[in-house]
Amino acid sequence: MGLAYNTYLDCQRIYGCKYCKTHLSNVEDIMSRNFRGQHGKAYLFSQVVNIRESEPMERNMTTGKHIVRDIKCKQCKKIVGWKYDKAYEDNEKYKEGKFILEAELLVIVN
Amino acid sequence: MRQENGNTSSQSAIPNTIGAFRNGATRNGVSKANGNSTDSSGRNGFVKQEGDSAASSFAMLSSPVPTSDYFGHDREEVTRILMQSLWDLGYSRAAMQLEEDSEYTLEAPEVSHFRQAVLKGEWNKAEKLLFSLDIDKDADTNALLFYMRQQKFLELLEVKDITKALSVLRTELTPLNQNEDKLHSLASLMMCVGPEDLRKNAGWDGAEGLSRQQLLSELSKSITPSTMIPEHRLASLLHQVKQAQISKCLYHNTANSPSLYSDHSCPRDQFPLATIEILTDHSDEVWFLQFSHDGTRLASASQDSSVIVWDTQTWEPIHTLREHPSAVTYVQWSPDDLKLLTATAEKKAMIWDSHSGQCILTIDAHKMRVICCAWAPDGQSFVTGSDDKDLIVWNLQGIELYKWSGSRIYDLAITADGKRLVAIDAEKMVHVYNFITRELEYECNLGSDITSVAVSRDSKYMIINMAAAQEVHLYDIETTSLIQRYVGQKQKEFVIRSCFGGADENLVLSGSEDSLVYVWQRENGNLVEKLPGHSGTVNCVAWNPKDPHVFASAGDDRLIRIWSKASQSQSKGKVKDTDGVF
Repeated sequence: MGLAYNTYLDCQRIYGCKYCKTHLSNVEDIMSRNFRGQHGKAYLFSQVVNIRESEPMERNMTTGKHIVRDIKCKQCKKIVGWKYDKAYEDNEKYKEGKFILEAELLVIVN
Repeated sequence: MRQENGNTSSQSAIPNTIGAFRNGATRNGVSKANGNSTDSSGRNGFVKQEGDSAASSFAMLSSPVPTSDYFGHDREEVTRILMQSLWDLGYSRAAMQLEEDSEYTLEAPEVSHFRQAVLKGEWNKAEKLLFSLDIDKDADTNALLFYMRQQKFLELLEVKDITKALSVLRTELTPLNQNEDKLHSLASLMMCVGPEDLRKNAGWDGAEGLSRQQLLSELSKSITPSTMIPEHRLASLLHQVKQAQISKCLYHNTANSPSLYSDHSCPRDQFPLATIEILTDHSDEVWFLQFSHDGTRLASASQDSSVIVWDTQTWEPIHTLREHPSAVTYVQWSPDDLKLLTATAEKKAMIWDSHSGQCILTIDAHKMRVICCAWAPDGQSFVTGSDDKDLIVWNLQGIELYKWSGSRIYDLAITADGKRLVAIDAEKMVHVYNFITRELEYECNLGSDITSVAVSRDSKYMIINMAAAQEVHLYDIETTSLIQRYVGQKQKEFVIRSCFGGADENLVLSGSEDSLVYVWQRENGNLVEKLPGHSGTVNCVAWNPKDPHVFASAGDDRLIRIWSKASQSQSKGKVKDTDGVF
């Protein structure tokens, strides 16, 4: 994996990893707050930083079948959410290439 | 006889001057003599007086003087350059003999007079003679006069003749309408308190130094070279030939100057292209490598939270420094090799006794991971850089001496002369600080994400890995100009490091995300080799400073590979699988 420098975001409300405070995304990149993950509330983000993507897998969700991959914090390697690779339902396509971060695993950092 | 006398008297008249002056003076004597004795009887007469019958008969045999070219080169040019080099080499009799035989003169009398006038500081004479010479049509004669009068002015100041100096400034320098700033700075030199102060402020080494010589070579740039052959012409031609051969020598790896007897080329089998050892003791990715300054040990830093110190003879581990709180990002030998400085992802920097393996000091002031560190060349202080935007200088007691804040520092390096600290940051910036005064000298945006920086031994150059551009760039630290690009290595996501390598730092190496080690020629950027072996990202490369045939590479495959000449791998016979054993 190599040593990686972290990306730092520069804005008002930054979401960081709850465990190591590594910057992950910010409030301006939230597309929807209307999601649920394994730990409850989750947000859909248009972009995230400092994550590592796991292998893709097919998963059945409440909105249908998707190909997703778990995403981990680059620094502490804890899973923080997932990324949508592919949605089979047409009206779920907007999620492709976007990221879910679970609210419970985030902390506001500045 | 007259020639002999003229020669010796001009030499003895100026006993303690530098070589070129003496040469000029002797040339003058010869030229005059030559001018008086161009007929063949004069030449023969001279040879006879020398009492050298062999030379005499040679002179007889060689006439009439041949006129054809020298294998495509101009006979006159070759002969005059030979004459100059004979003088340079101290073979004055042979040089005179050559003038006799060839009927070419090294320099016309007025050139010699001009040279002598400048070197003796006879400025009025030199000014008059200058315009009797063959000066380039494009040359700015006022600029040439300015050079000379500036020297005259400085010399007057040096001997504290303020009145005359002022008069030169007003009546000789000012009317030339040259650079006004220059005039002002010359005027300000009049405030200097003594010759010492003057020389320092003017950046000039005085009438007794090399300044007249430098003035002469500056003036000679505007004088037609056939009139005044540039100093040591043969030597500079030979130097160019050697440089051309070296830059064509793909596997060049020697600090010795090549022989002139044959065309130079270093054999490939002498280049470190073979893995002679694979070090397998780390249990996670290896991120950093550095050889000790004496070349006897290698330190490796790993994500497995340890640093291992290796013996570079046996390649056995001497110490494993395990007490790091987390992954180790960086390791640096102290200038005396007695201590090791390490940086860790868990906010700490640590100093270790490199012989006992004991931790001596822990720095726990950074708020985020420490990502880089370096020793001051005197070993009395060190610097740590962190994601927390602080770059801090510490003394050996762990007391903060200075702090620069505001940039997330990715890598740093201190020049060997101790004058500069170079730091790169998360915002594509390079910051160059004066390490003595701590002042920022300059900073510039390189327009690409950058991952590492290394400086050359001579403190003049730095190489920087450009992540977005996937290139390594060589910069002149002083002028910030881009000297060379090295292309081929892959890097996108991870910290890839490069280093200078080879006997004379004539190579540049880099790790790469495509699991290869890249080796380029420093001067021209030609790729020498892409070395396979690692089975994952190659994070770091390091060249042994004392053995030009050994370097090391470290990778995500948890391995350190030691590279050397192929012949050495056979003699050791330890490596069976050069494709990696992980």
